[in-house]
Amino acid sequence: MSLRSGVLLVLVAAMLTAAPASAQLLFGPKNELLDPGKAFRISARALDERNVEVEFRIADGYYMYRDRFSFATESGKPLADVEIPRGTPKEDQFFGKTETFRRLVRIRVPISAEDAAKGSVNLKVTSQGCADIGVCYTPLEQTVRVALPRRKPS
Amino acid sequence: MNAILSNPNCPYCKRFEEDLAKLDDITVYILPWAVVKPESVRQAKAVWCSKDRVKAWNDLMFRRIEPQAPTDCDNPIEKIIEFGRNLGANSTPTWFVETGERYSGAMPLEEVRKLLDGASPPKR
Repeated sequence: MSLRSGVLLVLVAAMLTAAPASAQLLFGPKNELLDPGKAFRISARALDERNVEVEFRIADGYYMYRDRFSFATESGKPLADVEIPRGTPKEDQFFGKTETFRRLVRIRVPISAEDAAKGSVNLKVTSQGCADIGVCYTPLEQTVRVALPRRKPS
Repeated sequence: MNAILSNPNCPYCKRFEEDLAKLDDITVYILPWAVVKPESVRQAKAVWCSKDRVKAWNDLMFRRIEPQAPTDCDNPIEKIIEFGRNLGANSTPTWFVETGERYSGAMPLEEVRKLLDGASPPKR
């Protein structure tokens, strides 16, 4: 680096605020960065009265981290015992061992009896992924509504 | 000139900063944007509260040495989180050139060089 080069940690709010917020994302049409909701398409369905399957269809060139999924009810109550399949191991020099998913991942989410009794559930799903072109998204929060079948009278 | 919303838990940010260090005659403004992982907030604040912020940042980013400074000094970390969101950024690294144009991702260095040169032609 030359003498005039330098790295500064500063708050340059005034300067950046002057920048047009709508300045375009300059990736050509060929490698335009997708909106996270399009890169990671979520859907969900009921498996039975007490289990929901959440599915992500992941666009080509994008991937999701296994350890960054979390699930909650709309009121914010975290849902435990979620069944996430094993991903593809990824070893990063600095970030250690992680597992990632490409193309498709299906996750089973158990619903409490109390929530299931309501007949439907709004799931708040948090996830995180990256694109191979060299960018990672901030955590993505999506909400899916799933109708649950009534428990059959025994 | 280049300003980056960067994060210590973002591998592509690390690569991007490494690449930028190879360029001559450039000033890089790093805004520690603590959004990627929950621990980013503590790390960013500790970096900010360090005596030598650049060293603390580089230690964390490139050598995974956790900053030891307290996190309770007066700092703009929460403000920067808000600021990035208000600009519509949803990924890291997100960066801005002198004209204010916004870009995403650790692009190949040659592309970055072209964009930087285009945004700030030689002034002498």
